[in-house]
Amino acid sequence: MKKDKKRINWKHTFKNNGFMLGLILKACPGVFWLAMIQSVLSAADAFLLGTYLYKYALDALQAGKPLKTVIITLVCMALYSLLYILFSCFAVRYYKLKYPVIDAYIQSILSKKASSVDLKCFENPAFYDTYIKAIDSMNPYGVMYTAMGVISGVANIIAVGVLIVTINPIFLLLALLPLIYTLLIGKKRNRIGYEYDMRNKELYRQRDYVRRAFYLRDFSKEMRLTEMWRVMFKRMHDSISEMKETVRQYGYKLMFFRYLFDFIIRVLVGTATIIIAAFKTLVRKTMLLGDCFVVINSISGIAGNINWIGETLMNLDQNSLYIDNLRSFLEYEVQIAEDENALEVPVFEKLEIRNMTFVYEGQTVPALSNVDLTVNAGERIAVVGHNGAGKTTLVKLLQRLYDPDEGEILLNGVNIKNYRLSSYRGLFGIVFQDYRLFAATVAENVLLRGDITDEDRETVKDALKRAGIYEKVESLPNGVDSNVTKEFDSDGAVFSGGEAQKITIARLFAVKHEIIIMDEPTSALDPIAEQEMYRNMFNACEGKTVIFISHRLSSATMADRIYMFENGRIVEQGGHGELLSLNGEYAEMWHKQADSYADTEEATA
Amino acid sequence: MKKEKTNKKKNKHNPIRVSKNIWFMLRYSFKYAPSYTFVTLGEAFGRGAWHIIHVLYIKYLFDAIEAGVEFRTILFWSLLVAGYDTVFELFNKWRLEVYVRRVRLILHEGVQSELYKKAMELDQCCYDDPEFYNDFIWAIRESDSRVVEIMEDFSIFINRVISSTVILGVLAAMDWIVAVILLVSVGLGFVIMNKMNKVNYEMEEELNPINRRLSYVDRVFYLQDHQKELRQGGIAEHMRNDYQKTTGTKVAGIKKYMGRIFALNFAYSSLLDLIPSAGITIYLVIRYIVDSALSLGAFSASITASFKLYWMISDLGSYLNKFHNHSLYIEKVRKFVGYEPSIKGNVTDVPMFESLSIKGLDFVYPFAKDKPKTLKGIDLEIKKGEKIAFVGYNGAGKTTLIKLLMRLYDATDGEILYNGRSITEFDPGEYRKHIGAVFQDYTVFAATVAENVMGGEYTDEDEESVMSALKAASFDGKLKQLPNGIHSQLTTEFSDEGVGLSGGESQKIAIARVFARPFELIIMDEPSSALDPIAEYEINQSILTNAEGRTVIFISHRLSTTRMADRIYMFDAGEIIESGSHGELMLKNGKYAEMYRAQAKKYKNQSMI
Repeated sequence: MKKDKKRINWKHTFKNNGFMLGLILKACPGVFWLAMIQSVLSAADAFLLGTYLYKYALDALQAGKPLKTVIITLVCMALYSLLYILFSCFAVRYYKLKYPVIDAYIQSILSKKASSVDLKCFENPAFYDTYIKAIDSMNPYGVMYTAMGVISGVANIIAVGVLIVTINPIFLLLALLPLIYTLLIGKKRNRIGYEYDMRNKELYRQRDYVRRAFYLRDFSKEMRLTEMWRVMFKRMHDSISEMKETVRQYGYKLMFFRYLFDFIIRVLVGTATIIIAAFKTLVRKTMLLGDCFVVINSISGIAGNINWIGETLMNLDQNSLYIDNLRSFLEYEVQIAEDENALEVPVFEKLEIRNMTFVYEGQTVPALSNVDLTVNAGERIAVVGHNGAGKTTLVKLLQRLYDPDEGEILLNGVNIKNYRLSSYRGLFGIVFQDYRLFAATVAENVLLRGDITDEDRETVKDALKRAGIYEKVESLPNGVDSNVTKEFDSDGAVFSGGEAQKITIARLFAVKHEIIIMDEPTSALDPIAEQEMYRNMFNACEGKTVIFISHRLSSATMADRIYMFENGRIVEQGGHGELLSLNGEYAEMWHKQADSYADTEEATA
Repeated sequence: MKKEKTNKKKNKHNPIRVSKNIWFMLRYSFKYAPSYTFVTLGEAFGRGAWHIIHVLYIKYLFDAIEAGVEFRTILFWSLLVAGYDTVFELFNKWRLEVYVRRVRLILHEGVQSELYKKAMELDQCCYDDPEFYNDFIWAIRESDSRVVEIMEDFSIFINRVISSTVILGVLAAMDWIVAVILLVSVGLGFVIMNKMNKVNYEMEEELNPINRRLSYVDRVFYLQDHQKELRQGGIAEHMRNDYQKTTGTKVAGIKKYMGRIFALNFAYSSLLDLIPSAGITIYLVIRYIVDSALSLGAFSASITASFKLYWMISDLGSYLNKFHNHSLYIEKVRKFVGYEPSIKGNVTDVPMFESLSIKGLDFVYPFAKDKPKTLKGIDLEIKKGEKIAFVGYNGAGKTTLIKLLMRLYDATDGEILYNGRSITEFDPGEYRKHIGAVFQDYTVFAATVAENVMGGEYTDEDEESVMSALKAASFDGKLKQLPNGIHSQLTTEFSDEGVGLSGGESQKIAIARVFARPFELIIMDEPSSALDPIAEYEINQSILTNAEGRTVIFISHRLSTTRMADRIYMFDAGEIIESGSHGELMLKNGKYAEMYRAQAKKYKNQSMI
């Protein structure tokens, strides 16, 4: 797609790069302006000390100026340079202190956006690939350094260029040769480089995977117990052979283009300059020795500089691509958004799902179709079914992480879209199947917020007790204030799968919610712990509405009503007894699980 | 504090150690790409010659112009120099774009193969030792880029040493004072640079935990895993505030070092930016005027040479620094390459399985010595054809015992006998060929279904075994949906067309592994944890039918799965507390019975309705 657009859209490119600079300017104007000033001063320094100094000295010597004047002038130039060094040391100091502040500014903008965009964005690999990678590869300082380089480069070219033109304009033409090469052939050269990289990208990925297989702990057992390592060796060998082939195909082409460039800039421009300068000085006698020296010494530098700026400007649009993504991420309009003026959630009476259908983006088969379901205050509802039947999707829709494609969800008879989002989500206490703990304290993990007070600590302790994990937490050096994970505390607590799940369950006890949703909350627990957990759960939720999702049917028996899902549809519903006597899908599933226990009781009776 | 100091000392390598380490790495290049040395030396000498030619050429040029030598002579020499440039550049580009690219690959394959083979010899316990594991990851992960980088750096280093020696000689011959000024200022520059590195290092050390905190918060916001929780409660706000607060700490931390960094930075820049350019020019101008013997050619050549020299020597300094870092890295590689595996054995002729007995076995994880024993006084006996179940709560030691049976670890005390012989006598690779195990934390590789099932390379003769193994693991339904059948690539690691399997489906692949080869003993560690009830039921039935005649060890905390075992071992806190058949244990009315009833009750009562 990018390739069809042959012309660079300069306006757009500058706008994008300007956007990044704008972030720095907004976060910390001092850094921006200081950087701009520094680039001009540095150009002056480079010109004075790198070029002009010699011209002046040689001209003065030839003209026989008094030694004192010459030395004083030279020392003045050195003094300017010293002042510039002092200035740039101050600038570096300033940047170092301000960069973290700029980082924090940008982080706050991006993270606010990230935690408010619709969840579906995160589940969409394309979104993830473009936007999150854009954030990852975002480098405002890189853009700033490029801008500084261009400014000081242009300033230097002007200064040296004027000097050279006053000597003889023909040398400036020579200095333009590399740029002409880049403009004419650069594109082809870059394309070959790009093709080479593309060919290798996949192969690198394979090679890296093989390497991971050999060092990651996850693989270590299988690698020792099976002979998969042979397969991995073969993969490595294959990918390296293919890479050798790519080198054979592209190596000489790359060599040709890079050589041509070096030949032009070093041999052609350099030698031609020397020969012309020598000719003018020696034969024509139209050039002074000082000029001759200046031209010979500065021509390669300025030619390289001109070329660098040309290439940088040409490549600006490459940066521009990720900035495009970044900007559209920031401008992304959240579909499920917080609306301050929307309704506050009333006392919960009834939740109804009416004829709801939902299709995940990019899929054709609905994850849920024509679902009708009612939950009254105080009821215990079980949602059961095989893996992939749509149970977890239902939970996400209930919590308004997604909106249905068809049908509606009503709370006390009002469509949930009419309620303020955070107020509505606050209705639910949820334990997910794929629960996560944060690298924060235990108390923060339980309450899911910061600013823990002493009162909060008591609440947390109580919740942990009920979740059956307080003993473990109490044994930690800092109790509920202990850090979880070793992420940034080497003494941080590490919980096993079952323990971590208990902590997430404690979340339900700590904060009062009207509706509790448990999505397979016991998958990581052993049977006794599971039983205890349910007992606690139901005691704590006495009088509350509970929706629980499980494929272990033993827990479903405690429900007032059971919904059996299959392929996104509700196939059966009713009490446990009703469903058993229906002798349908539910009954079949139940018997498969129960039979292995059922006939044993006689042996013990 | 004291401890920190000694630690730091350990991180400092003296030049001898550095050279030994670099030498260690260079040997790989001699071994796998011997021509590399010659090409490198060729480039170094060619470049050295290039530098001399240029300095002498500049001297000649200006002297000739000043002396009014005939233009044709100048033209001749200029073209000759250009000719050398043309040829040398061609050689150099060939080296960089073609030769080095190829050598990189050759070195990669050679070195990685050696390291991987060594990695396979590592004992499983190495993965439990965080320090060793981190070093090991570092050694392997960077081996690819590092090995070549070290060779390249070394070749540039040689190049610089040769070139700068040559130029120094030329320069000293023209004007020894310039050479001395340069050497002194560059020498001082080194000292300051060294000091600056130390301060920077100290600062980085202090900022490290702060930066880790910042990057964690960043990660949390963009990782898919945490998104649902971030939309609940105030944790997102809390994380953001944390970032701002931590930034404040970071700035304060940087401020502490800024005074020293500023002073050193200023000293370094004024020394190295001013002296070689303005300083030497002023000196030469004075000399040129005072001493009429100095020609314009010598003046220009001195300036050119001192620039080259200054640039090369300061570059040399950065390479010394790099070598020190390389040395730290190589030390890790050597530690890992020099590791002697403790799990080994000489007997390669392992007989068919008859019996397994465990006598008085104790086990502590090697890197958890201060912790209580994971297994205590285990005694058990398994005969050919038996179906054995290990049950018990999470963390009771069941999985650990399996790891010992597979010889991923060796017992701390007591022994495991295979057909009456200690398993430590056998070569671990050969021994493991008799036992097939599925672990709770199974891994599916980015390879074809067939390779995954064979647990290794697949040939057409294996087709039947793979098909029947997949059927036994009830994967045949899913298999029909796969575009390329058993040759479908699993995971999207390598290609977007790769098949992503669900947890349950992956587990079935792992289970199929034990059926694909004629293992005499099969171990199933929670084989159905990711499966729904119907799939679990099917798998259990199928395991029983397919394992007929073979010996099976089951681990599960779903007791319905383990009921049919010939003998059940109940584990609690690392010990076997009960053993016997299901009936016996129920009669005994102990812990097993309690656990069993807890699970069965819910199903039972309700079924009676």
